[in-house]
Amino acid sequence: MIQSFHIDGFRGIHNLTVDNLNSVNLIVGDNNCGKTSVLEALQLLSAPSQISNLFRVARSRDFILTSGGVSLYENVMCLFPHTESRYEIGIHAIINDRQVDCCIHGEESRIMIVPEETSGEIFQHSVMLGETEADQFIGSIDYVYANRRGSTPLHLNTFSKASGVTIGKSSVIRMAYISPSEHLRSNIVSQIVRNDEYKEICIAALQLFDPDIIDILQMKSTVGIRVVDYLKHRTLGSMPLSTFGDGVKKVLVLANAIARSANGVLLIDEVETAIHKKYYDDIFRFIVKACRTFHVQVFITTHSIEAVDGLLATQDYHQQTMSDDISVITIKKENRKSYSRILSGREVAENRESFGFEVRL
Amino acid sequence: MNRVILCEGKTDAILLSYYLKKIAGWYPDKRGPKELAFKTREKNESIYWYKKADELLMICGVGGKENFQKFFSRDIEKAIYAVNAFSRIVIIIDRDNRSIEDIECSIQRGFGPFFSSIKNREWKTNTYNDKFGIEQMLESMLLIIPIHQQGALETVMLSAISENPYDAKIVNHCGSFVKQIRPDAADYISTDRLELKAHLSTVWAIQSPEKVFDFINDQIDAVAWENMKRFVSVLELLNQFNRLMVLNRQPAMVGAASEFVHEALPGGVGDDREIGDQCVEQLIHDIAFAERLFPEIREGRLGGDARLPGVAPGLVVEIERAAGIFDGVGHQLRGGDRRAEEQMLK
Repeated sequence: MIQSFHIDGFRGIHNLTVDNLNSVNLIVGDNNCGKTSVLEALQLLSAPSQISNLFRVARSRDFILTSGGVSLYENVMCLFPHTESRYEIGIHAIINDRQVDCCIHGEESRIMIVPEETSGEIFQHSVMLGETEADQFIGSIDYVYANRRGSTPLHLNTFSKASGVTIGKSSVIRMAYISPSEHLRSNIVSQIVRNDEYKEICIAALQLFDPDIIDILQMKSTVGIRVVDYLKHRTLGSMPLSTFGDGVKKVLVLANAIARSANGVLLIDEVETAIHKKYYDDIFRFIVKACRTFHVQVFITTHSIEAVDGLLATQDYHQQTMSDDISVITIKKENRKSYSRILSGREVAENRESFGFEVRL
Repeated sequence: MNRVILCEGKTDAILLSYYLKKIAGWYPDKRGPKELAFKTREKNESIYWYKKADELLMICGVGGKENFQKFFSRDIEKAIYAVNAFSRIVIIIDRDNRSIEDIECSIQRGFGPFFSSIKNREWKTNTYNDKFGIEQMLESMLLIIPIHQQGALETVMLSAISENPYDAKIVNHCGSFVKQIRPDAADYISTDRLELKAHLSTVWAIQSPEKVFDFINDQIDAVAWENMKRFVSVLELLNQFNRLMVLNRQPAMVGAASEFVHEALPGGVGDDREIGDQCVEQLIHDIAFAERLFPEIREGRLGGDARLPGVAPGLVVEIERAAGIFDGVGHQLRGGDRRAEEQMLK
């Protein structure tokens, strides 16, 4: 479990400390205050020594695969805080009572690239011939975890690619991230059907929407050779997943992610996306209960005050005074510094009842 | 930025509102900002919002001089720490028989960093760290009333009323009266504070008797009417009117029975309306009773006289017989008494 973290600098976040974390951590704040950036910073901590992890985090906001997408180099450079001359990322945390650090630093410079001297792949999308200039970053990732200190060199330029980068096996903590649009682009059914335990969880989650959903399948399409995702329905038979609404897909994504992050950390960005607020009570109770069952610490960002109230409602504060699984973290930026306000879920619920507390600001 | 005034009670809040509206240009704002939707929790608390240009002011009656700290820490303090809800706060408190220094000390003890620096009738800037850990400033002022003597806001109001020489005499007379009657009214006027309130109330009862009577709607709940026999008897009559409506299948029956009772009975019932209404009620009951025993009556198969329009003619005979009760003889039906009737019904 992540007990606390401090971000020296990452994207637009400067000097942010968050402690008193809980099993369920709700991150709220005004637009552009750094909610998603906090989740990305935590992802870097899951495998601080691995460049593949850095590239994955850097590219997570830019999933447009057309030739108009931002380069890997730009994606990585955008992770650095916007200071004048220094390129430094510093993220520190206490995870399972151990210090974990990820510090990335280096310098940018201009280099000359001669296509004839390099692999042709670099210029597969370019028709330029002859020498050209490019930006280059030379630095390193300095890390601390499991009582180990180390440093991974980091060299990349404008034409660098993520393909071929080795994915390491070790990680500080199991971690899964769900972006707001994950349900639209991920192909998770194939992961689900391979694991009976995951599949049972997912079916239970889907039955919150429709109790007659009884199975999740993949079958070969009747047209062509493509494999198609299906949900088996007690009365409707096997229906393509695509015929169901985005809410069903979102629940599948959530259930699968909870199962995958067992004994670890789950990051959910904009939890309210694709879920109608009439399902908040059911879905949020499912999330809280499943996370408790699988020992998952969850960080959730949201813009929606209804989602905040829905998550607080899972604790039934009026009926019990003993436990509180929720911390609410409000982030704000003021004078180029980031601040956090951490309140217990109970305190937020009481304040909302007392004076309509607008916790997002 | 928002401001807040805490005062003892609703009366203080209303008086302050009047002053702020008439002199300082603040106007009522029905609900206040939705992110500061404070609610009263006790009956004697009050919250009013006022607006002037872009600024908002909340005036709170905390429901008694012992409740300042409780009211403040319950909601307002949380809102200040959580969202820097207010930039200025004023506490208006009655001096009663305390010294200025005593009051300043008690406020300083009870209101945390917001009144750590405090002086009667002076604005002081105090700092605190909000929940983000950012240092914030709050301007605070304590206003003890009255200024140069012991007393309360009522003292100030009486003094103000006395500026008019005509009213000054009334104020003096009322004060003397209340002081004189206090030993005999110790159950009601048990403290100097209550004597002061009684003094002001008496002045206003003289100055505006019809307006003062408007308060009776609030006063009704405060009186234990159920212990007063005269009132209970009226309530019983109201219950009988309810029975009249239950028993009455034709509205005309009530009118007809009433007319019969008041005009047709031997000797009548005089001008005693209470007795007359009891008779009507009993008569209707007996009519219903008679109809249950005598279906012929209900179906109008008996002949009779049409003196009671709307009532089955055959019932007239039974009505006249039932009217024997009004002489105090007791109910007669076939020569029996009421207990016999009920046995027959069983």
